[in-house]
Amino acid sequence: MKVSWRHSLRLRIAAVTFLLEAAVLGVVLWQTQSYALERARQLIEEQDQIALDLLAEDARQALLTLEYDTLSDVFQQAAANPHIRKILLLDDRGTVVAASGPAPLGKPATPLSLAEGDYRRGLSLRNLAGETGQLQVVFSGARLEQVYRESLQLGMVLGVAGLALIALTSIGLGALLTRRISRLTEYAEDIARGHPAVAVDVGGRDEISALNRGIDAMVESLHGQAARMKRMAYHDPLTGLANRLQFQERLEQALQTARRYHTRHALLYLDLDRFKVVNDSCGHDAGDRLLAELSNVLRAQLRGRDTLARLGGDEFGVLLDRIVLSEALVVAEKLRRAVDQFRFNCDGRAFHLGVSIGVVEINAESPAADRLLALADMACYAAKEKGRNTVEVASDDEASREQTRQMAWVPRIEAALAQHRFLLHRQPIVHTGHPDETIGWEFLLRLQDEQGQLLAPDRFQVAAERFNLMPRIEREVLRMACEAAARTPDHYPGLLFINLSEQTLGDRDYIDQVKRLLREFDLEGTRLCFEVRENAALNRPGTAGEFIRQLGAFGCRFCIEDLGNGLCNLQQLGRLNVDFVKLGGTLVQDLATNPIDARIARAIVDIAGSMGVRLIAQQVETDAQLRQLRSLGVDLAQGFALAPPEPLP
Amino acid sequence: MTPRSAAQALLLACLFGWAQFVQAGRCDPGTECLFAVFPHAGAQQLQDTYASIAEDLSLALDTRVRLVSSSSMGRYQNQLLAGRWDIALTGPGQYIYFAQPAGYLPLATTERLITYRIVTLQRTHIRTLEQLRQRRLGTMWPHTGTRSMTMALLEQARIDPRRDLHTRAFASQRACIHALLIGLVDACGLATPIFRLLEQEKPGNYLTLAESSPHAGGVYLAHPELSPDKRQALTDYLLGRPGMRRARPGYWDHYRKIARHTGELAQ
Repeated sequence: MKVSWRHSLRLRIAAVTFLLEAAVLGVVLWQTQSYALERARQLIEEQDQIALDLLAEDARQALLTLEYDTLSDVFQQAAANPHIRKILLLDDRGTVVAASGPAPLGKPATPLSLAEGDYRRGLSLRNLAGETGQLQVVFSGARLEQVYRESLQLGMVLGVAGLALIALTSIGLGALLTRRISRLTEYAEDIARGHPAVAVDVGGRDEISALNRGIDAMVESLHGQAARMKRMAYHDPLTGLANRLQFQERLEQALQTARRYHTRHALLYLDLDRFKVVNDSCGHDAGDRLLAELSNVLRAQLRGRDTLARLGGDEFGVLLDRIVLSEALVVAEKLRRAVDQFRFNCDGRAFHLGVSIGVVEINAESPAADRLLALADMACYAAKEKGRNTVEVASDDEASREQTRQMAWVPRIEAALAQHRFLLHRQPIVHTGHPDETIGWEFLLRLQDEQGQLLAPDRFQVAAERFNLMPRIEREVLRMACEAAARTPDHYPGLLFINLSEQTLGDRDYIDQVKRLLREFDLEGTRLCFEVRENAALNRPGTAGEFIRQLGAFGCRFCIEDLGNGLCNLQQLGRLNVDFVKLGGTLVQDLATNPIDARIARAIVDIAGSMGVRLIAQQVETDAQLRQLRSLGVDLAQGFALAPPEPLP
Repeated sequence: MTPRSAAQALLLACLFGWAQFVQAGRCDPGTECLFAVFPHAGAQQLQDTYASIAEDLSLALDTRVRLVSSSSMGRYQNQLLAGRWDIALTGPGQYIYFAQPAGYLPLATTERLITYRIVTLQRTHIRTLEQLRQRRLGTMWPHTGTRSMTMALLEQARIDPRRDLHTRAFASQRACIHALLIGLVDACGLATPIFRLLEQEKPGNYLTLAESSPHAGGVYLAHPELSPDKRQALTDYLLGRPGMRRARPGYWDHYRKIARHTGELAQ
């Protein structure tokens, strides 16, 4: 904001003022000089005339009295004046009768010689009858030259002095006019630098004063806005608690304090249990109200120097200042109990919540703030896994680090979902006896990472399942698969095999989406076949059975995959009423080398046959495997030996 | 022609020329005739007043008549006494004291007589001649009619100029008026016609304390060497001017009487 002197208003004012005043001075000096010279010329002429008149008086007398000797004396005295060079008096006949110096007296006059600058004035002396004589005077031009010279010198002195004075006054005027503006500029610069601006009063009632008041008002407004922005930047608008940004800064401060002064603090990561129930039951407004009320409950349990923050959703963070771990655990338990005893009333119902709390101690050896937060988050997650509504202390071991790595997938998956970077490939399922005959296509999930690389599900699926992201991913897969089949139906003859995770099995939204997409893309439900891993189905047989029943109402089919890789609870499988069973890849690949696997496979073929379920061998990678499967009576297969996965057409 | 005869002819011619030169009289054609006016006014005023008369005289005399004067009354009187002027206009005093003794012949004078008066300024608070006692009186140069008539006025008022007041002589009446105006004197004795001229030139609140009876004024004179025909021509011209009359010597007897009374003129 610093203005260089070359562009400064002060210089411009000074320069303009100087130029204007210099021009005025020039005109005034020129006019004065002209007037003075003209006046001097007039004065000299008047002096000449006076001298001429005085001399003429004597000359008339002499011409009348013929007393020329006396007149010559008068002329000589007059010629002593340095401005008079010579005086001659001629009578009416043109004869020189008197002169100031050597002259041909009594003889006709000859023309007077003039030196450079000199000039001659003549006066005819007359009476009523005619000319009685002529007076001729030669005047020196030195007077006029001297006047010119002195006038010029005086003009130059006045000009230089005037210019100097004008320069000083211009600079002074520039400074005077911009002094208050400069103060306002410095004031504005202080404001721009964020310095605490002390109000400046430049005084006066003019425009600059108005500008001063405007800046004051602006500063006041800026302070108000800054305070509001700071509050918005550091506070959660819903609960009024500190937000994640402020919490992280406080955490950094606590960490620095711990490292510098070996103090101890504690970080608590709180995640509400069953919050979703309230949200789903009473709506998001009720959820927001709950969070606000619960914030007050939590705050009441803390000391004034502790920090309570809402980190997002139903997650809270607590920074306990200067506290050892054992005391922190006591506080954590106090918080847990407070939440446990809290009841949220909505629509005449009282909701009981819980909270899972992860605790991590902050000391001089603690890792960075991000890592501390991750540890606390993991401990919270561990508390949830332990049955929720408990307190868990974090530890920084290999398991925790693995969990951290898994957690790192969460934002990446979230971003991929938001940016539609989940893609589908497909792999045909064919007849083992007629590999050209495709009975359906399995959709295989891929994630295009931030660098454009395609990642197989084994890279992120564990994390997605662990952090309950699979339902969202699989809803996206369902949408993409339906859209692809509807867009290019010729490329998708037969069934569409779509994988489901254990979490999705209980997802009511998924069932609603199937119904909606079938209607949207005008697809028959009989074309969809959902694949569920054996373990997933058997872990939650009731949920899985209900899920299959509901989707079966639309005509959808089901397939248990990886059969043989788990416990192979055939009794349970029989109750699930599935249409297909996929032999696990491990079983298929060991058929040729492991006689036991071959016998297991044969048994499965027999049982499936007796149950009316069709078998699909997956991960068939060699022709030998294919021949053996054919010999076992497995009529459907998929794998590299038949067709590798490919992008959707 | 032989050289001898040529030399004789040249000698004769020179002798003739010299004879002509020696025989040339005053105001003869080819000569310059001086017409002198007594210095009763400034040079310019004299020029303006008498230049035309000089021109006319030139025609009358068939020669160039040059108007001249003197820088002072004393010089004029001396020149008059020396007989330098061919034609002269003088006051009564110059006539009886200098011109008549030098042989100048009176030709013409004005029909109108002139008076003399003693004037002061209102600011002097002098209202009568009596109040002039012990004051300063400016008079003309000695041997002038104006001075003589001023003394006569004082005498009539029984004021002795030598004892009762301080007199100061001036070269001209103009100088006396100047002295009165700047306070060098308290009153001046002047000839009325000249006072009228000066009054126009130098206006002021003048007050006349006394005025004489009228007497003959200035007189045109001719040098006695001027030939009778030229004198006649001059007289004819002057008498042809309005208000002029032939001059008789007895016109100025009153002045002579006073002059004899004061002892300035022999009995």
